[in-house]
Amino acid sequence: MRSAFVLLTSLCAIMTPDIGTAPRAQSLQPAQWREIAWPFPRDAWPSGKAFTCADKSCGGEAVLSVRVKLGFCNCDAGIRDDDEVDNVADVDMITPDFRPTGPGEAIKVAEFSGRIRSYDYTANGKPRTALGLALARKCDLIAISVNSTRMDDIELRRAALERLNAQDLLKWVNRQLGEK
Amino acid sequence: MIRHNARPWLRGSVLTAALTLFVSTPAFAQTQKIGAAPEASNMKLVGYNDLQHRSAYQPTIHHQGDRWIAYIGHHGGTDAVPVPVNPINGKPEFNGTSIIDVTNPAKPIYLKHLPGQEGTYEGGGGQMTRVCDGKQLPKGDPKAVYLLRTFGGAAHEIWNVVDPANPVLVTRLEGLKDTHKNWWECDTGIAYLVSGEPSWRTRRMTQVYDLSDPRKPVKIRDFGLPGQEPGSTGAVPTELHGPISTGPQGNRVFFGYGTNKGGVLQIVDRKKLLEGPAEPTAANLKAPEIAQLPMSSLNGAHTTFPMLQMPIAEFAKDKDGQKRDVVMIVDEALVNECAEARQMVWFADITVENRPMMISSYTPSEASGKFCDRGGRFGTHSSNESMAPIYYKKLAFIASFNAGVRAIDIRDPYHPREVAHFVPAITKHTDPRCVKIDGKDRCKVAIQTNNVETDDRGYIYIVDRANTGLHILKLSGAAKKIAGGP
Repeated sequence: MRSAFVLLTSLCAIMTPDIGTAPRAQSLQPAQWREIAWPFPRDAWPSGKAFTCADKSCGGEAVLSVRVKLGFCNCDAGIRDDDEVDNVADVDMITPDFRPTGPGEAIKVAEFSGRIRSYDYTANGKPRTALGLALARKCDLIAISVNSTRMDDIELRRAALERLNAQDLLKWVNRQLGEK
Repeated sequence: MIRHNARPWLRGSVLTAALTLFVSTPAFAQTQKIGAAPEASNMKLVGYNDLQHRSAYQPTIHHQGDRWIAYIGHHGGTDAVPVPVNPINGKPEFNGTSIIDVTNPAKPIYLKHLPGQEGTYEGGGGQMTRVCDGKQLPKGDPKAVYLLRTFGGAAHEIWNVVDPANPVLVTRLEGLKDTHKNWWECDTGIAYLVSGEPSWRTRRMTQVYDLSDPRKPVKIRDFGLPGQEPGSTGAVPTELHGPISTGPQGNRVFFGYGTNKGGVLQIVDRKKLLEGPAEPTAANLKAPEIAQLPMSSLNGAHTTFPMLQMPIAEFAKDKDGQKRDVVMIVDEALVNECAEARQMVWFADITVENRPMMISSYTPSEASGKFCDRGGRFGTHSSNESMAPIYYKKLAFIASFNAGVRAIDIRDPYHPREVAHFVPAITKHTDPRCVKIDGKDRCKVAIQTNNVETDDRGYIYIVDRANTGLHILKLSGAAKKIAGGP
């Protein structure tokens, strides 16, 4: 786990050059995610897995959702641009009124490549943070959304990527994609 | 929204539990065999062409002088044969458009293959075709016949096909990130081009053009659902599949969004669309809309075919509502071996335009052919789009992938019923369709009737997505009587 954490921290550092200035003391322990029921209403795609993290290891309350959308991706180009992340990453399941905070970035999680983008939105009059990740393999898509009440963007990414890289979740994703 | 050039045969990964069930019940499968007789009821085969074993999409049949010419769009090639050889010239050519003389439907003559964009499956080819006579277009060359086609996802092209064996390029509209199922009004020249304008947040939206003079295209505006336009934020509405216009007389355009999920029928005032402010703001995009009929997340809107002022026999003695305005909405099945919700045909009563309402549905019976076990896609894809009197508001023809083509009696759209079908036999060139089981491909070969069109004479043209070719059919028996035949 420790080696994985080092890898993830390095990945975050590459993705977000200002990570060195972000508050990190509270996140040095692995994020404690707990699986919960799928939190969103039935829509066009089968539901997936969802997790919540409510303690200090995540820096605040957060909900992470992961699901596979078979046949949703450009088979050759994968995730092409930020518009595609807005379109497919399930952030619209959190709220229809999300606003990107800036351009997204290319990202790789295990063998899956795609893009990650940060958003803010308002719920009950309070500002919140969200992440959308769209990862592709061949013609299939892995859609990931994260929303949080208090976490800053860097902490949110770190905690989310840590869970996404966990072997149990990667195995589940691969099973959904038709692998053994 | 579909789906980003997904390759159907690769797309077929399915839930392990469902696959286990399929694998464990082989006795129920009805695998098609090469050379077997077609499965048919009230439909007969008239003629056949192999279309050079290219995966086929939109057929348009045009009465051209004293000839009947079929223009058939193609998807890109397959991984196995990415650039099929054109036997006419012996050269490998990327899939594009097949041009076939079907004057004698029993002996179709392949005239020309017009190559399309490089690429395989939906990543290449030239899927879409529409044809207008120059003498009908307000500013067209009266000696010309114009083919509007897509060039893969990159461009729209107009060719002069007055000599269908020797097309001449007239116009090219390029710089797009995708294209799809266009509509072209031959009497006005207004074209609703399904395009991917790069700055928009969706892969497919509408570019409205004045193509009354195909040599000088004039752009009128970009159009889509609010939230798709450049600079918008938040959720992105499902992408366009295709529109159908009733022209200036009907003054409506029916847009179908979504393909197999989250479908939307949008009813638009044509005049307001063409004459309203062109800047793509949310307010300007909303202005010409009369109503939306949102569908379930489980179904899409591939084809939205209007049938207005239909007399309903059952309502003949009613004081009001004896005639109904109906739109037939056809979903597209996308995933092999039923690994999605059933995609089918829906009928919407839009007589009260701002309160459209679903009234009925139709699907081929799965049990009648064990279609979920046959391989490839099962469910509907598209309907004929000809409004010629012989079939209009009487019979609809539904391309249904491995269930072939289905003819349904729609005279009472509240109670549609199947009256004929034809499932062609596979050939040695029919391309397999695969699903993943434990990480490995398990493939089956089945007919994949992709699109269908009719001509004014009543012939029915079905084309196959899995490279089986073009079958020209005619009705018989009770189905023929519905169309007015003996």
